[in-house]
Amino acid sequence: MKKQGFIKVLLFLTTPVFILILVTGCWDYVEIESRGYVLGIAIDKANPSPSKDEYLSKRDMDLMELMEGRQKYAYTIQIPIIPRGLIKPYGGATGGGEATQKRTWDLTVLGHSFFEANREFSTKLDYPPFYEHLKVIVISEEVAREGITESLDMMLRDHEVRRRTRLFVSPQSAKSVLEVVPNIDDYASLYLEKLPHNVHKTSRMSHITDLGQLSQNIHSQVDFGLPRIIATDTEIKSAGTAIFKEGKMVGWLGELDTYHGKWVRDGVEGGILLIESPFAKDELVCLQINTSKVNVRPDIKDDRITMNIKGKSTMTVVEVNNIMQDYAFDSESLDIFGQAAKKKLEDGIKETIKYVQENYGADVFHFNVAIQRYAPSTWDKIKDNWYEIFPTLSVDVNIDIKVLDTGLVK
Amino acid sequence: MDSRNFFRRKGSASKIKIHLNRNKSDEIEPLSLSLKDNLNKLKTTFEHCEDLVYRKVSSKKSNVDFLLVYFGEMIEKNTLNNNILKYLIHDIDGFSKRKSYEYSKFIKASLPVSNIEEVTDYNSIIGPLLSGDIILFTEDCYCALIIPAKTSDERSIAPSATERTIRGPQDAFVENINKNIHLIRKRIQDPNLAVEFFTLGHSTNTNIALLYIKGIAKNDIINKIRLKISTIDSSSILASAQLEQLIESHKWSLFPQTLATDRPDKLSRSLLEGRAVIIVNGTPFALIAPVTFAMFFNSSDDYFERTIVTSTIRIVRYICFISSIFLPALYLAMTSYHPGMLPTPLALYITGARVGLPFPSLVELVFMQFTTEVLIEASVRLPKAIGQTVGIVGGLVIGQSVVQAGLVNPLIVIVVSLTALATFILPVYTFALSTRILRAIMIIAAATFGLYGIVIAGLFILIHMSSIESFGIRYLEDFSPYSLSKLKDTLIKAPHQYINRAPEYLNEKNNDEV
Amino acid sequence: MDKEIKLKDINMLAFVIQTMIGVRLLTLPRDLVAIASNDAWLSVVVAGLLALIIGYCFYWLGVKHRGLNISQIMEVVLGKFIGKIMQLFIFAYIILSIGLSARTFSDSIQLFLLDKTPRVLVILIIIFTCVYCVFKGLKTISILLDILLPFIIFFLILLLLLASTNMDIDNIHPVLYRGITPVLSGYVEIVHPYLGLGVVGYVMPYFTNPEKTKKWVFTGVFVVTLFYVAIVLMCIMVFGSKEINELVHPTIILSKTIELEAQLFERAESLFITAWIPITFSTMAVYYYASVLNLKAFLGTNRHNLMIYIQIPLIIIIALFPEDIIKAYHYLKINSYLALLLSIVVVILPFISIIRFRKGGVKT
Repeated sequence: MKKQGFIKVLLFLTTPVFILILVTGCWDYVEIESRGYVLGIAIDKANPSPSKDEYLSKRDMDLMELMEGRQKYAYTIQIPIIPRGLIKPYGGATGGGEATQKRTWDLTVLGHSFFEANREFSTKLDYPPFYEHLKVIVISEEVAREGITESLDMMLRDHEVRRRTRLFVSPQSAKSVLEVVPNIDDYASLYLEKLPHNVHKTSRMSHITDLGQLSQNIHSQVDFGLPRIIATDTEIKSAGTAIFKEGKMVGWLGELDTYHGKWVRDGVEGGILLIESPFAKDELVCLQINTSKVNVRPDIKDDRITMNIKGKSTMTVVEVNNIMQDYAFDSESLDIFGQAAKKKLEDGIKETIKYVQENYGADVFHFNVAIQRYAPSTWDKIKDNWYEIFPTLSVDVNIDIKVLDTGLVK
Repeated sequence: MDSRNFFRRKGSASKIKIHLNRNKSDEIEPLSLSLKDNLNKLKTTFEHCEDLVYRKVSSKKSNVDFLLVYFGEMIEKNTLNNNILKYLIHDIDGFSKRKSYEYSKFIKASLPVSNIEEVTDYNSIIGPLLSGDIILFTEDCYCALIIPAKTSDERSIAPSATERTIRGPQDAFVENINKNIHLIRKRIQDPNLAVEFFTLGHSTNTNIALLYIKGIAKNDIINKIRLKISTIDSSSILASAQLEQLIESHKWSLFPQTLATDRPDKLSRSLLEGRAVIIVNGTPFALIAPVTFAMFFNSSDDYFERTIVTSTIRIVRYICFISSIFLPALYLAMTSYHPGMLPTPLALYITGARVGLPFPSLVELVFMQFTTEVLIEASVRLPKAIGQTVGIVGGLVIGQSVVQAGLVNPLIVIVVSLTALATFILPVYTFALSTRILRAIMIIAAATFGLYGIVIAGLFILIHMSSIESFGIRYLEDFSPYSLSKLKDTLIKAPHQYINRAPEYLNEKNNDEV
Repeated sequence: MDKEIKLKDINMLAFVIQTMIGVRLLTLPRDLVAIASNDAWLSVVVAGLLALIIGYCFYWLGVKHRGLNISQIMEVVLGKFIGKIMQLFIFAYIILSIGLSARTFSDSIQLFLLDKTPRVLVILIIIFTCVYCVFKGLKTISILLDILLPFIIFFLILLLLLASTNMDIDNIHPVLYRGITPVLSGYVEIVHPYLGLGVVGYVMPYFTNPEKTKKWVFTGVFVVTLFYVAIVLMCIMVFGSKEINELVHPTIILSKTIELEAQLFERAESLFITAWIPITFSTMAVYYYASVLNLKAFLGTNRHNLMIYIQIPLIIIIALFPEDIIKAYHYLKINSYLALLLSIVVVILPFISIIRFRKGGVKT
């Protein structure tokens, strides 16, 4: 009985406390419509960089007074404009239909630290920026060439930003990419975000491009590539790669080089291989990649390192240029297709590796990772002068291609 | 009739006992030999009872005087006229051969009425008199006779209105305790089916029957229930609901610790599982005890339909129970605390629906929840014909116009009505009621701490549920020490041959092992 | 009142699993990888084998000294004085564990769920939930654990399955490049969560058939080891050892990498941190109960509820004491050494017991 009394007293004492909590509580309660959903960020160079007292005299809203540093970057965030009464049963429908209406609000602020710029957005935006739905970050080539880690650190540190946020590099101004008005999608960011899903159709775009991957690459000190995008007023194209060496962009890789590079990195998820028909000249055969698996292993003999790139792939004939083309429908002909494809692919891969070795010296193929994993003792010896060794590495490519099918016709 | 005889004797015995308790004296007050004395005494006891009839008759053949006392409205007129009065006045003969003290025994033997009782104590006639029996005094005899002649102008057995089944039996309990016991006896024809009678309530003298099957039900549990019932000290028990509150051990809990039902098949099944059934005279709803959480998800129909279908429906019920508690709170937490968890298109869509609305989501939610509660209450209380109108007015008019007026986000209307629907799927109404309160608690938790609040509040409820017990059986006994056999009739329903055995924790045979 | 509690042997499973899987799992991969890099998962395997030994010791002691919990056994076996000192150590260990669990837990809650809500409140709420649970007794805790267990296992498996789409098996190479030593020294980090096994020593007296629990203790340890290995391995395979070193909460970040193309939900980490609330809670509640039993043995009192209440302020103070996240991890490290000490004591305890009680039976 005494125990019961004690509980009652305890309850009596704690109840007001809890009521107080409820009354004063709700610290994190924010209505869903009063957040500014940042869907995309574009990072450009502030060009030309304004002088120190310019922002006082010039009535430029994009300028801000900095605590430290200089106006190095132009940060743009994209916030969707959601029309009032989007889904009201009556009346609201008329508001949404006009094509000329602006769909997004792209705010730009010049600054050095992104976080400072982030807070500066709040001077213009009546909704606090909210990064949990951040989909894409577009970086302009100029920024990338100076190094991307500086402007992206906040994205890795902040808990709001998702690790799956995609990164793109554009040779044109990054803001202009976000300003694209897509034909079907509402917002350029969502449009851009969905593009890499097409990796099953083509291997000309690099697709492992999210922040998490970037963070891993930077922390493990390996070189990497980011997808290249080009935009017009209504369209964005993602193909090719921007190559980064030690965190700084060193150059571009074309669409076909990207394709071959993805073979080396075992990143091929689909796409095609176009070869000249082994049975007739000037006729093309198109093969579709079904499966592929590539392993890179170092082969060390007397201090000479050879990278063994071994792979297996199965393909299907999807298009033959000449419908009356004459070849026997037997496994031998399929093997001949396979041989031709193998040769074509291996040549291409070798060429691309050589091109990268000679022109950029950036280890985007992660050969160093392979050596670390499979020959750790060798790696300990060579890791200090890796960039001198990398261009001299010899490569042995061996990818078996099996053609399994010829579609509906033989 | 047989079964009635069987209980009758026991019943009156306990009645006398209780009655004595009431007068706080164990002394026996003998009846007077003179009719007049008895009459006067009764008249002082029942001073203002103008419906009490004192009827003096005398036998034509033997010239013996009788006094019949009864409440005029409560007795069966036919019995009185044909079996008692006619007999006493015209037919009975042979008093002269007997001594006066043998009269009552003689009448008892010759009256064509069953279950006549002979008493000598004044106090023991009052109870039966109040319950509608006829008391017969004979001149010069110290014995009175209690002649059962209650009217049976009660509702006849009809299908259950609260728990309908499609393939199940269409009979349900009525107000009369004997009829109800009869319904059970008809189903379980087993000499081990024990029926114990109690009479409770100083003013109401309500008959209560405790039913269980000896050899199946655990003695511990039955003793606990018996103890609880016999220690009740209450002046009135009008319905099983009051008894329920008096015998449960966690009175402030939101969860019912007995299960009330008027379906004899459900009750019989519970008896066979080893549970006890408490029937209260005057209520068609009998109580099952002890109960476990999983029982509230079993509908009678489950046992009349096919296994896989039933199991699926069971799982749907569990999901509905959970969503009826958590759905509005989750909506609130997701939209106001963690919109990052929603897929981007959905988040933007909800934002679009919310733009320009004047009230915060919390207010909208509470308002719509309140409206739903009002609608539900209104349609339950109103007559059937008007009840449907309420549904139309509420659902269509209010739901639609509130959205059109731009006061409430249409998604909230969907959430709230989905929740209400989910509540209706729960087979036991009492249990469905408690989800409403739980839902409110969850909304408050979500409004204060978002998902964290919801999980913590959920944990609190879970701790509470694990801690309560119903007559020695934990509420969540069905889930706790893991055992595959418990799953057979809880989350899913196994085919009949697998669930024939009573649950382990209720089974007398496993008593020593547990 | 406590003596009436009768638990079935299968209840042990939930006790073992839920006490061993706690909030520490959120940061464990990083601490392990810092020591053993790629081979961190081997550390867990080794620790799992050692845990089997510890678990057996607890079981053996519980069966030999029937009806006594581990604190009382220490007093019986080591003598009153050393026994009391050990109980003090246990007290320090448990209360530090609860306090720091609450702290690290509230840190992650603040990071991923509630940004601005005061930390004190988050801590207070979880502690009061524990108090309420402990107050309701062991049988309630056991039922609660049994009900939470399937959900927790479901969430862990879901996390592993979803994260496995991003994994790169080659990341575990090179195996054992730096030899076996780092693998073994990783044990220091993992001994702390693994000492959750100590709960066996406290709940053993309440089982009807203590002998039969052996199977479930071992199953529990096996399941836990399996999950620990899987999570550490998955972290390594998804991130690579270098990246894990840079992450404060690798296990949550693991859920952060999850992306569903079906777009059912986004930000899986919020979902998983939500699932982590019951996991943390169950660990804390069981530790709390053990602490109450330990205190009762230490002070030689029988006042169950008083022992519950007097610990509340202590735990809150410990939870709020570390000024920053670095300090909190520092104290956690101290606690790990305390755990190591206790686990060594537990392993040698049976031998002392055998020597001391060789002649004659055991007095209980």
